[in-house]
Amino acid sequence: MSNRTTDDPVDLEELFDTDVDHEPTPRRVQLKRSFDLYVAAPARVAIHDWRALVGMLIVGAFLLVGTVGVWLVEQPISGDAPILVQPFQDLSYILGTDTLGRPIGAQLIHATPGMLKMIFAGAVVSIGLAALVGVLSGFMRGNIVDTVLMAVTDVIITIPGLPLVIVLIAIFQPESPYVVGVLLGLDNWPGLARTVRSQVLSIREDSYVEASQIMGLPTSTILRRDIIGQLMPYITVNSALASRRIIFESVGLYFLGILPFTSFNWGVLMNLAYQGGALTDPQLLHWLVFPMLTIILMAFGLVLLSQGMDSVFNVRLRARHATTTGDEATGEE
Amino acid sequence: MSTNYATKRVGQAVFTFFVTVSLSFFLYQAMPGGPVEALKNMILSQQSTSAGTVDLERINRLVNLYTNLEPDAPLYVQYFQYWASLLFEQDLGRSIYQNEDVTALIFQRVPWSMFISVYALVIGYAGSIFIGALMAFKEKSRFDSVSSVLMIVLNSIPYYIVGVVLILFVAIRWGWFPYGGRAASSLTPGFSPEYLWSIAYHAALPVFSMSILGLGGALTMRGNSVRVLGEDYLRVAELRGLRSSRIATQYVGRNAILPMYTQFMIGIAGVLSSSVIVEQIFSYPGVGLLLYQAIQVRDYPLLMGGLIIFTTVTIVGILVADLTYGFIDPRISAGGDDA
Amino acid sequence: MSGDARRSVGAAPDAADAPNDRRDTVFEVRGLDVAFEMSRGRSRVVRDADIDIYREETLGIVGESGSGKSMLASSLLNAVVEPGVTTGDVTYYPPDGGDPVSVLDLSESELNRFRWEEVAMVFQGAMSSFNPVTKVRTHFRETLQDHERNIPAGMDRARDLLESLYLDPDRVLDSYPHELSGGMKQRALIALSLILEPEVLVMDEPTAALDLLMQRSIVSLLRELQAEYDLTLVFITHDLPLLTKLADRITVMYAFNMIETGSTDEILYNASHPYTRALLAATPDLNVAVDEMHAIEGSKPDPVESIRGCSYHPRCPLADDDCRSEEPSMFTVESGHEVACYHYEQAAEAIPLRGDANSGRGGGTDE
Repeated sequence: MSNRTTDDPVDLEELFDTDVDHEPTPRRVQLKRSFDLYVAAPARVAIHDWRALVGMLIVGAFLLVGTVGVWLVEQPISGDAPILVQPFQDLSYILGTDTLGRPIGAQLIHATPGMLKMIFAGAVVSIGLAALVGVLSGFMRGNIVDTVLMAVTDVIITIPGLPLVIVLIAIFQPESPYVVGVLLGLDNWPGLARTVRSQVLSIREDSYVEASQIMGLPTSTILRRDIIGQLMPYITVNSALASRRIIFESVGLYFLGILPFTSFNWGVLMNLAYQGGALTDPQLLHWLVFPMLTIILMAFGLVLLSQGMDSVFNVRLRARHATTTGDEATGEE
Repeated sequence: MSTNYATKRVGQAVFTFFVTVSLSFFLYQAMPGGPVEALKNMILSQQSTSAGTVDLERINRLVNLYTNLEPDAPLYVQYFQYWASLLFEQDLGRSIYQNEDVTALIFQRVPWSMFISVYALVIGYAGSIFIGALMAFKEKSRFDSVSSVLMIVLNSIPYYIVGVVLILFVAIRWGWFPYGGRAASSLTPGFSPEYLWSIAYHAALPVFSMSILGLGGALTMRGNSVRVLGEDYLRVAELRGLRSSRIATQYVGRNAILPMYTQFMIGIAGVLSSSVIVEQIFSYPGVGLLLYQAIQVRDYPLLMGGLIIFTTVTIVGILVADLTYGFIDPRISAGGDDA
Repeated sequence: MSGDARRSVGAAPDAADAPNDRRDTVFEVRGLDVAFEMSRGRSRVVRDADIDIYREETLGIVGESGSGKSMLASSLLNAVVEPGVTTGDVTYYPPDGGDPVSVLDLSESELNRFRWEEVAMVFQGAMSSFNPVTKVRTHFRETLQDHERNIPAGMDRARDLLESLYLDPDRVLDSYPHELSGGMKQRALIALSLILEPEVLVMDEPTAALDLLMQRSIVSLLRELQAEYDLTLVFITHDLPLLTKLADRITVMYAFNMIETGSTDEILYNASHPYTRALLAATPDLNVAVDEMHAIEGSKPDPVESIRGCSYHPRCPLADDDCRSEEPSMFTVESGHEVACYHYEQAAEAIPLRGDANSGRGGGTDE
């Protein structure tokens, strides 16, 4: 096993396939196995793909800033510092300050926790709904539950998300980042739900699921072991993409002033700079540019992560069909 | 078989429309204090003459005028009346702020939004199909890896930031393209070449920044092409000694682009959605900007109308795409008559 | 390898091979190697293969999956998938004494002509061998068009072919691939492979995805077609029992090497390589495919790490120091029956077939 990791970074494979004993396994062994399957092996796999690695580093850095960073950097207050310090002039305000003398860097840092909460809530809602609806309707294929769920999914796919979200925001005026995240997540799940459903359908047709059914394994076991296992790739990849979308939309809505003004927010920063005339006044430009770069960096990390995970999981899928020759190109099997 | 498919799709479209309108009705009800309370203050602030006097009947009448809701009637009656005025009078209510019919206000703007959205989508997809196919054919080359990174970077930049950067450099610093408005105000509207040119000129930046949304498709196209290149039928086509031009178009091209058609359909909804943000940034007077202004003043009837119109346009777009999909992918209408 | 000392099946004009030499050769394969460069080294999936294929015969190539048999088949059309590298000589002799063609040296456009006009190939992905978005008719038409054939005449031939495969020509031609069943698709693909009247048809596991009944009926159809169209058939499979019903000669591959070649009867009754014997012994009634038997102990070989000596020695009960140090060359058992084993004379004794002979062979051989 150990030497396989060098050329074939996917010994998850082994775990998937050797896991067909239906003797009850001790809890501890199961836990260890789950840990290997869902944590250790993907982590080991991920460091073989530079995109996943860089993506994780970036996202990890934001997590760190959002948790530890806010303790280290003082919350900026008006008049803290000289007004409109240009970036890279003063070490205490590397990114410069705004028209009220608040350091841009500190504002960006203190906006991060809110952003993370929003992303978390939105990703949980959209991925959770997608997985629930997709798995349920995939399993109930053809009966009324499936029909209803898919009809609902089709309707929501069609309704343009942003206008709906805007109406909801106009009515409810959400302040809490969690609520904003949930609202933004609401229109984000149908596409993934369809993907999940078709995955469930194709997995169901896979012979080994059929075999497990014939072996008399309860549906719940099949669901847990085969379906969830195979859906993990989609869920991981799409969580990252959903997060990116929530950042884009929320920052956009804060930028335009559609979401209610909050104290520290990347979009609000952009809004203030934009309204202040940052486009025409070069003295203000850094006020607009650094929030934009922050958003792009975060999105870049998330996209890299999703791409990296995608290719990592794809390697695994291909490995499933690889042969003893160790090269899928040989076309044997 | 084929008609069955069409019926199903049309039924789905009608159902979606029904859900959207019902949704807007219930959103009115969900407003804090219900529609009456929520609108009362707003209406009062607009009606300078009746300031101070709280005449419930008058307020109710106004609420009815603006929202097509009859506040006194039971909920189901309100619901039917809401539908009736929508279906029989094409009445979506009245804008509180501009005091004009919502339908009229929106329909003046719809063509402009459609214009930039559709062009953005088409340009974005055409670009991504081209780049993606090229990347797949040169898989693992330097071009492929450089483009992949470039696409990831492009995917990480929100379209409105692209818009802001374009305005900053292309419009303000370099002055290559105008921004704000849909045509030069000095020209008289009409089918004169100058006017049409001016329209295209003004639409260029919004279209470009929105087309970034479609460019994400390049990686999908690349993935699809790589997958098709590994398909058995491609190998057999090569073994059959077919011309490479035929293999590139009929085999790889068709099979790789097909799955993107669905994406394209859903893309209509996404691009229309984004017009709210893009039109505001470029001060482009389409439906998006109208809705943006409606949000600023909490003009609920206009907002609801905008939601319904946006959804309807999307429903029709997707329906058309759905019905034509059967022509290009035989697998979709399982009957197999290719009429 | 001891290239010179080796005698290849039907190759060297030796006294013993005289009967073979008089036969009309359509393919002559010499020193064929197929290799893939991989991150952990060079993966040689076909090693120094020598074989002749005779006109209008049916040659069966049998081996476990991953033994290199598919690669061998692909190299007959110079169609080993990228980034595989094929070296050696593959010479094709056209009918009626045309100039021999060195297949591996053909240019892109020459190759496009050669493929399907001289040699067609049906491989295991029959279920997905058709372009899903065009009708079956289009497949025939575009093939004729790109090979500059007369289309009306070609389509008439297509109908005849489909009919001789017991298909309704109009229905099949007007269908999209997804509208046909697996067996129908397989037969339509065989018809498509014969549309340009090739000399040789290479079939790589053509029946793997079909049920047993369909497999047997395809096999009998193939025999009819072969007689009708004077075809040379190369049939690759892991299904030894199936092969015994179809092939005139059988070549056994193990670990990327050809280890034994002989007439079907010779292989069945006089198998001389320990691996071939193990295969036969493990086949209870010759109705079970090789992959379903698990009786051969030991793990499968790795294409990257070359084993010193005979590739089968780690699993062979007869292995001795010779086997471990030097790879055996081909030994002639009978005329036309060759085996790569030092101990071919002892193999029969050392590895008896089930119940020796009676029950084991009976079922499979008398068709």
